[in-house]
Amino acid sequence: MAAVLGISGEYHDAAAALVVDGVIVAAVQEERLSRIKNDARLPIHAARACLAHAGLAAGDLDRVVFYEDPVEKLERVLVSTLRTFPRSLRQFPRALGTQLGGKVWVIDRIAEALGVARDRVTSTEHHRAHAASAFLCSPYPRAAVLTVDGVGEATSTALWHGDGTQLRELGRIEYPHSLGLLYAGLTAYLGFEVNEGEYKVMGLAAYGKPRLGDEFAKLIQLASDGTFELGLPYFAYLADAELGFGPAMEQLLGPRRPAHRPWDLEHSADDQHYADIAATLQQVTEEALLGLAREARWRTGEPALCLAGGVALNAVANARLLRESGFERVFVHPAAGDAGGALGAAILGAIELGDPRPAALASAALGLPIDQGAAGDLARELGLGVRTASDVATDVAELVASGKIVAFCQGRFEWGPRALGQRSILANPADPDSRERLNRAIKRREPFRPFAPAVLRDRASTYFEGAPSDLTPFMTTVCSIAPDHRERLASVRHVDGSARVQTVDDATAPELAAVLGALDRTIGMPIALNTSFNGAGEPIIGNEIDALGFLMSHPIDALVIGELVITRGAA
Amino acid sequence: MTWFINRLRTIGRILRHFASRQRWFLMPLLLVLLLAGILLVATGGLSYVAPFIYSIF
Amino acid sequence: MTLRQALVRLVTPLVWRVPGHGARKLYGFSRAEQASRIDLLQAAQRTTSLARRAAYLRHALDETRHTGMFWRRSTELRLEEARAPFTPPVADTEDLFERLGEQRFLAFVHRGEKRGREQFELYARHFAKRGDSRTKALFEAILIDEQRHESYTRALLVELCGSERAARAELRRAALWEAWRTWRRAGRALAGAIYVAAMTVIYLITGPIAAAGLRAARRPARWQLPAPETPSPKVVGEPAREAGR
Repeated sequence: MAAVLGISGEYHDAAAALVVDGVIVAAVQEERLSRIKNDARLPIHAARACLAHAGLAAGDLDRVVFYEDPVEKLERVLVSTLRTFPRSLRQFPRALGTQLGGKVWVIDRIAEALGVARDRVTSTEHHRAHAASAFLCSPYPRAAVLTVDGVGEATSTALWHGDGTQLRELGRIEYPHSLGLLYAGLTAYLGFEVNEGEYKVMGLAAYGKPRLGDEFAKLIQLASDGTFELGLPYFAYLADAELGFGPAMEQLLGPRRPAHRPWDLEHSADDQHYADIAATLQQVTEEALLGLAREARWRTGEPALCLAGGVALNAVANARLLRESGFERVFVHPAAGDAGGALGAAILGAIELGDPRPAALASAALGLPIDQGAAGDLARELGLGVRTASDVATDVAELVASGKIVAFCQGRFEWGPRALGQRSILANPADPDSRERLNRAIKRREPFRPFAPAVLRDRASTYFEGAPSDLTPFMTTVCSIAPDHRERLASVRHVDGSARVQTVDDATAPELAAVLGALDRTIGMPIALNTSFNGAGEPIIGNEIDALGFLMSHPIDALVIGELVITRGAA
Repeated sequence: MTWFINRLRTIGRILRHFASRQRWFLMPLLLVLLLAGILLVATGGLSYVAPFIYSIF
Repeated sequence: MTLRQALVRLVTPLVWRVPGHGARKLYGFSRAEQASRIDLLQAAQRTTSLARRAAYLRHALDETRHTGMFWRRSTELRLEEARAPFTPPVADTEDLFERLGEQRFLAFVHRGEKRGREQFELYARHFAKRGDSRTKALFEAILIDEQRHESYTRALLVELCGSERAARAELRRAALWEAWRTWRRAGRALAGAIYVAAMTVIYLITGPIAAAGLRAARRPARWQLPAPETPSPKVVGEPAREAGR
């Protein structure tokens, strides 16, 4: 019977997660509270918020577990920087500086900032934390587990066997051979921001053809046992957790794409070439993952696969894994990136102290609840129109059906990068005008990025092939839209006919499920366009203050918080 | 005071870790780096971008 | 304060004429606005008064607009110079509300807005003289907001402190804190420079030996088998448990 807090941070995706008596009580990413996107600083506010939510004080914690070993990491950074003498001259001061100026002291800093005894703060291994988040939150009693990311301490990829509460490591692939760093390097090459732009590259891939196989064979070679090797001369070492592309990459693939140049896939041959690069990268990544999955299946003999690590956010690859890897069931942790490591670390601590494994994750609503009363007070203070809906689901459905864009805030905010009905913006999936307005005025995304649909789980198979699955409640896969409905669902359809669909029921998001039911009666299908409630370049909305600020500065038609419907001007 | 003791214990752990990996030849370098680290920690703590200050130059 | 104003007046005509520097300065301002925005959002979260929460939120939304305005003008200038625009400003914070408490935070913000207003008035006049109507319009539009920010923060400060005298005392203390902070920033910049120089020397001296020793030990990309099973999570600082490695 223990209270364990897990912490991730210092590199990107700082988060805190609290497990009490084997139950996941709260999990919060720091960026939702600090309003700084990808906030990497120690998540002290998130940690305190988790404790407050549970009614606990720092002194009540039995253990605090940090998601990676800072000393192992220091060793790897020091060794890899020196090994590449003298090329790493410019990186050395910065890389070692960030390590020794803060990161290596992280355990002490956590103890001091939270007010917890130093000997109660421990660390686990980065990939083990990922593996725990994947397996121990899954619905499977036994499974093969793959953790694939940029790099932890020194490991980029690891294969595990999960059984009950135990995780046994079967093998690892070490830095610098890393799928995550390959993808990140090409993301930077294509002019996007690393750790942000990978989604965009995945979306861009569908617009290109994977015709650069020969060039990519020089960047990465796949072996028959699932391992792979990066062509190191094409990459350059940066900082302590990154691998960029070197001049040799530009000689191989052509000049890099300048960041922030507007995209024109219809008329620009250059942009088409970049799309082809994205397509080849995506295909190569999928093939590498398939190789790893097949090795996992061969070594463990299990019918189920769990995935975590940053590369597991690649929903297109996950879909292919489900179809072709030979596993019957696949589960991906909703916060598959480093934030998930915080939850994994907490669960590992809880199990070590004798608590049972938590129940399978049914919903990602693990954050802090929205306060309807406070929202109403603040809205009135700001001069906004406030009214109480007689029936929220019907009101929202009517607004959405008539082409309005509605921000929808219910309950506790989501854990992970996807909006799953707790902090969503909803629109009519069959209305091209609302999609246009949404993209132009609110989200301001690149033209090749699609919006995603939410559908009632028990009707999903009518509209989406392969839905529902263990992946769809958390939007960690893509499904092909059934041919009959492709025309009508144009606003949520990607160029290749697929959609990153969320299946919704009362267990995952009851309020959204009610809206979808009402939409079924008004527009004839229980589907809504569901995009995350945040502006361009900012984290997803957390509480009512952020939500009302958004309403005042963006042209959405209504903001629904609980049962309140809030609008600019009179109600 | 606890601050200092905690950091010393961490330094001890770092040195033991490197010793256990037989990375002896890195030890002197490591000691110098750790001193540099203390210097950084002492001067750190401020963000790079200052709110409400518009640079003159 | 007057020293700063004099310095600004002196430096302004020169600073804006350096080719390329104008765009860089405007980008710097957009980053400052972004940082202000974050600090104000956090103030809105932490204050206990509903009226002040609304005021800080509105202020934060103004700063958001300013961030965009400065950044867009900076981008225009960069494109005119045929150079790539700067990436959108990334937010940062010093957790000022937490560190200073609400009264000193308000005093600090008021001083910052006042300083900004004075500086921008100078800039607007400068660009009017130069005939750059777009940049003049930018500063004039922002000035309207800065004036409002300056006056509401002053009024709120008096209300919070209880009297005009107390408010002025708070402003003085904020000025002292700012001076100390400037000193620390300068110290940090200096320490940073020394550090980089020292590290470069260390690297060049010890690098070759270390590199030679390490290169020999490079392992190929294959499945690495894990170390003998250790209990997880490892407890840091307990030698007995580490014996397994």
